[in-house]
Amino acid sequence: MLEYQNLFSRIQVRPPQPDPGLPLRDSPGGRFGKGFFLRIAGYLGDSQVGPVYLGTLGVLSVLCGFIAIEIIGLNMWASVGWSTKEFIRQLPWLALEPPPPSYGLRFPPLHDGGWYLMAGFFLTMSILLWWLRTYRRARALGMGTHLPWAFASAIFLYLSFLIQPVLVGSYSEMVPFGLFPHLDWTSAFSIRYGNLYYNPFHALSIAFLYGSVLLFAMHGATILAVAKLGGEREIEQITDRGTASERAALFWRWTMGFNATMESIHRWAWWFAVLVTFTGGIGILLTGTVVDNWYLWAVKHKVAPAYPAQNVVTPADLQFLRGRYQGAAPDTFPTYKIVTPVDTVVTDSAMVGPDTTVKVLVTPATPAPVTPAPKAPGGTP
Amino acid sequence: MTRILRPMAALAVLGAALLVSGCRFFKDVDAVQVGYRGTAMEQTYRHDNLMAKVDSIKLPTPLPPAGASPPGPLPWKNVQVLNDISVAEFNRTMIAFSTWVAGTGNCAYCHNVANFASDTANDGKPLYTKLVARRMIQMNRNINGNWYAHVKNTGVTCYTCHRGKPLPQGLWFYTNGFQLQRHYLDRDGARVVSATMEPSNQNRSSVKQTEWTYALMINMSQSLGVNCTYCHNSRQFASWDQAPPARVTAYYGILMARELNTQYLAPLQTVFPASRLGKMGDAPKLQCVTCHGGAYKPLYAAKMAKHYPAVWGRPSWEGVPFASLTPTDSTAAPADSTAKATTSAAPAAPAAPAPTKPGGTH
Amino acid sequence: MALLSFERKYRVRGGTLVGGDLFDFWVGPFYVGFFGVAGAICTILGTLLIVYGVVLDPQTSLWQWNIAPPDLKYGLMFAPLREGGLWQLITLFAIGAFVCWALREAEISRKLGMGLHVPWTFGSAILAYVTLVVIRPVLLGAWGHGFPYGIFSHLDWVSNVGYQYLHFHYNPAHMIAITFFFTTTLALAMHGSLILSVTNPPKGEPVKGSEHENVFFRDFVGYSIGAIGIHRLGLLLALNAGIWAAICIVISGPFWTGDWVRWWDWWLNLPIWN
Repeated sequence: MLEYQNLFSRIQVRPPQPDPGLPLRDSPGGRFGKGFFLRIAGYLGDSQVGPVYLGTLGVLSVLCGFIAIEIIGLNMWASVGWSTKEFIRQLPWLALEPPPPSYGLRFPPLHDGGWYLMAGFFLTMSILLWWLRTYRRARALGMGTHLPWAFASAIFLYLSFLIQPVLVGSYSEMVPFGLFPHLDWTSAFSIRYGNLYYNPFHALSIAFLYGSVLLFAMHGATILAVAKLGGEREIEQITDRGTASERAALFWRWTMGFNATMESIHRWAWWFAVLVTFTGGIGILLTGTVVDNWYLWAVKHKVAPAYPAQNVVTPADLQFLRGRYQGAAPDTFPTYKIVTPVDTVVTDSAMVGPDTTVKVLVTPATPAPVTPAPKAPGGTP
Repeated sequence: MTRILRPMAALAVLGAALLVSGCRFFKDVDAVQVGYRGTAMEQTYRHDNLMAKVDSIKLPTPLPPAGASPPGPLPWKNVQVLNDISVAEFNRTMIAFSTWVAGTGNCAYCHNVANFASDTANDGKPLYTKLVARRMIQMNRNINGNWYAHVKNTGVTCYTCHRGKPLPQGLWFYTNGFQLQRHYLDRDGARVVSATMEPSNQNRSSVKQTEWTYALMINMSQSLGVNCTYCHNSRQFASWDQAPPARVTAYYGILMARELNTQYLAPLQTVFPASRLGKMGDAPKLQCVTCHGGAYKPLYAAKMAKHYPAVWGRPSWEGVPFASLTPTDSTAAPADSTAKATTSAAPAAPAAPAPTKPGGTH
Repeated sequence: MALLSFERKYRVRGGTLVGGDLFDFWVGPFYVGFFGVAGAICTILGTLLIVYGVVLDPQTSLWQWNIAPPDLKYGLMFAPLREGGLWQLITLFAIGAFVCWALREAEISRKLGMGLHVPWTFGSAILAYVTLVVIRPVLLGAWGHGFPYGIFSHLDWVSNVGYQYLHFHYNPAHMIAITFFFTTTLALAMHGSLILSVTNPPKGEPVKGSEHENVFFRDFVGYSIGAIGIHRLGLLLALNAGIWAAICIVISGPFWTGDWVRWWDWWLNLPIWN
């Protein structure tokens, strides 16, 4: 029964020769190869692979990308003492790390973040060159530039990971290269900035991400449901509406009361996908520059829920904690310096509002003076 | 109609069958709630795993209480630490030490059996084990006496770390690189979350610093066999108002680990022979897993210390006074459950209802 | 009547699963059907219960609303209304409403002579929801393991469930699910862009044909999946995203109680490395 649902092609139709493609404008590079047919691809989609266009931009982009990958990979290999066995074994954990915070925005020595910055530079060049390629290819075929502009939104998010560290003043904030290490960075970034779930742009980005998956599920399923009526021939359906588009539209109109058209659904799709990275990039740029603790931001804007206090640290314990060591984190690691408690208004509770004053004693041994307990906006019964 | 209903009916039956059988198959996963409902602050355990771990703890049986002793001071020379207990208690303690560290009856591990009072062997070389043990007894008393805020009335004995072996579990030494264990010695900077919404110079910690803190916390969690929500509400790690009471205990645990490493263990570097030192020539140091061994309380809260007044370091233990164990009086007063705080320990505020032990509420 | 210009000829009787002609009518643009009535009842009752829950514990803003599941101590029983019973009732009505929605979509598909791809796809989304609020709690032995209903409170649940495993990013099924999510978004951006770029060329250019679709992608990356292929791919990617998400949460707790960082030890300790 599955074979009547148009989930895969039982019979593959192909021309005698692979399609060489249309004539191009302003494209000095040539197409590489004649193309060939892959049967396994033909079950799901088109079976022709190639020819691919090899222009200057594309070749340069791949070259830069290759250099970046080589720098990253060779550094990883070096970090396990050039052992092939350990390289394969530890590969998911290996990293090329950004420089430590002590260098700020100065260029560090190669072994201490210099290679990282070089790899990042070549990767950025590769991506930007690739973007230019998308633009040229669209222009060469006389098509609209929607794809390059969608890609630009993704590049905006990528660049925001480069710009935010510069705004904060340290290359050390950048994302390390490495499978598990970049995941560690993600958690650490969220912890450092007070829980990124409370960043409204992060929330928007996730809403658009899930929305994109929802939309593609809906659109993909809808087109497959009317594929027997030629629904997948979307261009013809747009310029000359047929029964496939009509039924697809009516399906959604009768289900949820409104509908898109064969063209406008692709606008919904474009915007949802593009807004994932666009809002995400804004969220990153605001972090550490405008807001240092998103949870406190949420508390201030009355957005964070208040839970009844159940099984929490008692006021007696809280009292006892005051006057204890309150040192600030050193901004370099691993340089050790003895940190003595400073008499600034820094408390051990992150929920102190702006109108609360708490005194912190300099000497850790004496008990703290009794101060009014901070009014926790989170709510205590 | 059947095109839809038949596969759906099949799915529903399959699902129901899975659920019903699942109820019995997965019954051995216990979950203990730590915070308000819906916040998902909970500890989850596989019942059989946990029971296996509990069963693997082989506690030495407590020796019978000290009997009558001759009156007067201890008859032996060179007793520098244990000179406040009776003869019978002293002997009992020594036997226990051997069981806890070197093997029962293996007095020769620490002593020159030709001359028990001596601190050197017959060839004149110092008995480092005896010198270290002396300091360790002081450390043990310090933990039980001054760190009530962490060890409460469970306390520790030599066995808690040594587990019957000369070398405890989880010892660490200096290496050249990134070492989260330094937080238990001489490095701080674990606090990385801002107390203010706006960026300020009060918090200059980096994302890298945060990774270090995170690694430290993972190390602590794995050492205690608990997860992050045991001590934190992860929506705001830094907040004490939303944190379970265990966080206070853990906080004192870190302070205690620092003190023990800096005051007791690291200075023993001059006493240990080279074979016991690390690659960079430093003494062995402890971390959370040394006592805890993967359990939320060491030895799953088995109370050993109360049977051995020599390691109390406090004037009484759960109502049993230390002073009454003078040379002529060996009968222990009946224990009662109220704890007496010591002078330098935290005020014994009645603890907030702590999360129940693993094993759930069934 | 709000009919589209071509709609009248499609409004025919038939296609219903239950109820025959009794509920086979439209209200405005909405098709009703038996499942429209049943679903509307579930929706209205569920929404009223949500409002009741909010009124019981008023907050300053709607972002702070929270309807929490029961304490774990109630196990799989019904909890008192204000101690999580409300959450349980709302969950029941939600599942009822979602299932009715899916079956209504099936009736509409049948009426329009379409394949049933959409209701089946929605079914997988419902399965993901049911996994979170029914299957995993039942496997763990308490309804309290479900997530609270609240805009930011459900995120606190996500955060804490994640940290229960110390570092949830290390969950392999979670990695797969995230990859599918991001790839779906990439494919959607590419597909939306492609269709718009051929039907909205620069000024003076004619609308392009499907040859241009294929040629652009073959020039660009060497392969063009084609018109039917992209929709199959998109559906596959989106379905896998939801399925692997459900898998990643159902194995966390019922199957794996340790931390996900330690799970990878099996790879590090493979005998082949010696």
